[in-house]
Amino acid sequence: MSINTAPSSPPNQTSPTAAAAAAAAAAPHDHTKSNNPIRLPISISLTINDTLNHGSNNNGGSNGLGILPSRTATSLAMMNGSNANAAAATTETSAVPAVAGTKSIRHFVYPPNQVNQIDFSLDIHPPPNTSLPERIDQPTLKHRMDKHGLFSIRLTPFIDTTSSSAANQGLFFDPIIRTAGAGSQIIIGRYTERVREAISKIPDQYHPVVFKSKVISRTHGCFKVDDQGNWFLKDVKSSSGTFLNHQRLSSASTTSSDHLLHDGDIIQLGMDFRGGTEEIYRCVKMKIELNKSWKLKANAFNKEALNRIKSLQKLTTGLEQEDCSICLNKIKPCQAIFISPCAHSWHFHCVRRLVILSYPQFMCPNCRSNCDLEATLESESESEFESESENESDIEMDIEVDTNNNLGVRLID
Amino acid sequence: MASLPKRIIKETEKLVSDPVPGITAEPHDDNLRYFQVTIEGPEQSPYEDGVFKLELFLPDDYPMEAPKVRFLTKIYHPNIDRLGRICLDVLKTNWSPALQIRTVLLSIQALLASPNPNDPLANDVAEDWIKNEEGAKAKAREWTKLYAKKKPE
Repeated sequence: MSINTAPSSPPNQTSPTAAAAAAAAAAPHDHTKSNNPIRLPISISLTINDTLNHGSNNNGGSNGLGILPSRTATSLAMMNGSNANAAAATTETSAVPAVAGTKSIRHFVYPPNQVNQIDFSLDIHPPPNTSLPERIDQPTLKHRMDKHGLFSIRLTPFIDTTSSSAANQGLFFDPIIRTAGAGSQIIIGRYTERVREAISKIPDQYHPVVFKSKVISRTHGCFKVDDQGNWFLKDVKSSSGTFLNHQRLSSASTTSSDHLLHDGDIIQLGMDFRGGTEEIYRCVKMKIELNKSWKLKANAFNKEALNRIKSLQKLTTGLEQEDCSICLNKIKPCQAIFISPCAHSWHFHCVRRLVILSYPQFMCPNCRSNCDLEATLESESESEFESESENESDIEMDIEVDTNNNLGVRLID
Repeated sequence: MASLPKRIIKETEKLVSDPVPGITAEPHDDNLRYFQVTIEGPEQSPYEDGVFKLELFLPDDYPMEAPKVRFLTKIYHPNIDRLGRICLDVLKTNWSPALQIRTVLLSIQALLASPNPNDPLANDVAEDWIKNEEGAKAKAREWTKLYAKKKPE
């Protein structure tokens, strides 16, 4: 990483190219775009090391990464004004140019559906002997977008179940979801305080992808997405490498070509240092999911499933339960739900603490019936079948249980 | 303080738009977790015609933790002590996150209608209640007149 070279050199002579790049990215770029609401309603420059000193001339650069020149801020305001009639576009269209050291890689996120109007500047250089995927038809393309017309990438820690070695499984991180319009480029890099500061005002889904590990370069690589929703991965001179399905994209400190990503691919950033015993020296292994946003939409299947749960509750408790009794919000499709044996249900998120509290014993907060969450499933299901077909005494018992539940409900509600 | 959870906002809205008869609960302007509550004494109880002031506070962990409720108006009741603390299962061990401010206040109103001297908090009152129920009730009525008089509007 080039950061060590920066502070010793005088600001303007360090790397004229980088300075120029920074200027080009931050200022004139935004100015020209300010008349063009399609691009960059939010513009924040992330500058790293070399360009840091340059930034201080423009104010606000003293802390390196930051929300840079006031010009940018002004143009941002102007743009928000001009975009007032397209509120949706304003919120969804943030672009974050990041000029990173001498690499001058920019992080930008474009709004949806502007493909035809932007000068499509995303250069995609696939590796030799490979070709770009064929163009897809409109319905398929639509399927790839979320409801706002953005493409998405989701990164989850990859836990290698095939290797039995107790070696570390890479850095743990919460799932990362990024959404972006066609032509966007999302930086992958190391999490630093400066980055945190600079991105604090941008919604999460437009942030660069950053990890708290020292084996990740500050600007390690980038994701690109084209107008078809194809995602690409590129290594931008990282020191410890980027691996796609276990193959290194480029040797140390060289830029790779753009590799087409497929759903389920495994990416590894960097290599464990000192055996990866310390968290901060672990590589990042992650599995990717692409353009899966459609799965999170309400559809006939998940609506039907939810209706069945509701009618089950009505059957068992005699009451129609609409809302989660803990957060008082509706239970909707695409939410994780926990159903207790008494057929009451809550958002898993809401009831989780109660479940953990006395696990495996669980007391329903709605009707106070107790149950054992570790109860064997086999015997339960058998008795269920029996009670349906057998004589009255069994049925009576069932009724008794039911009234108990109802009593509980009445007492509480 | 962290922002107010949606649940509290929802409950507050409902308390205003659809109030429980005989009960009012208003959040404090400065602290939306602090409510000023009034409960009317239930009919045919010694507390009839009284209006009792209470304070209710939702702890940070609400609804996983029960709200804290206290009588501000003096009341002669075996389950309420001289500091206004209330002995009620749903406020302690039997709290459930499925309960709400409204259900808790209803429970308190029900407690006024049916005091339980066998599980006392104010021992002297409970003793009095067991020994001489009529006399205790008369005293409760007296205190109600004295301290919980409805203000003419």
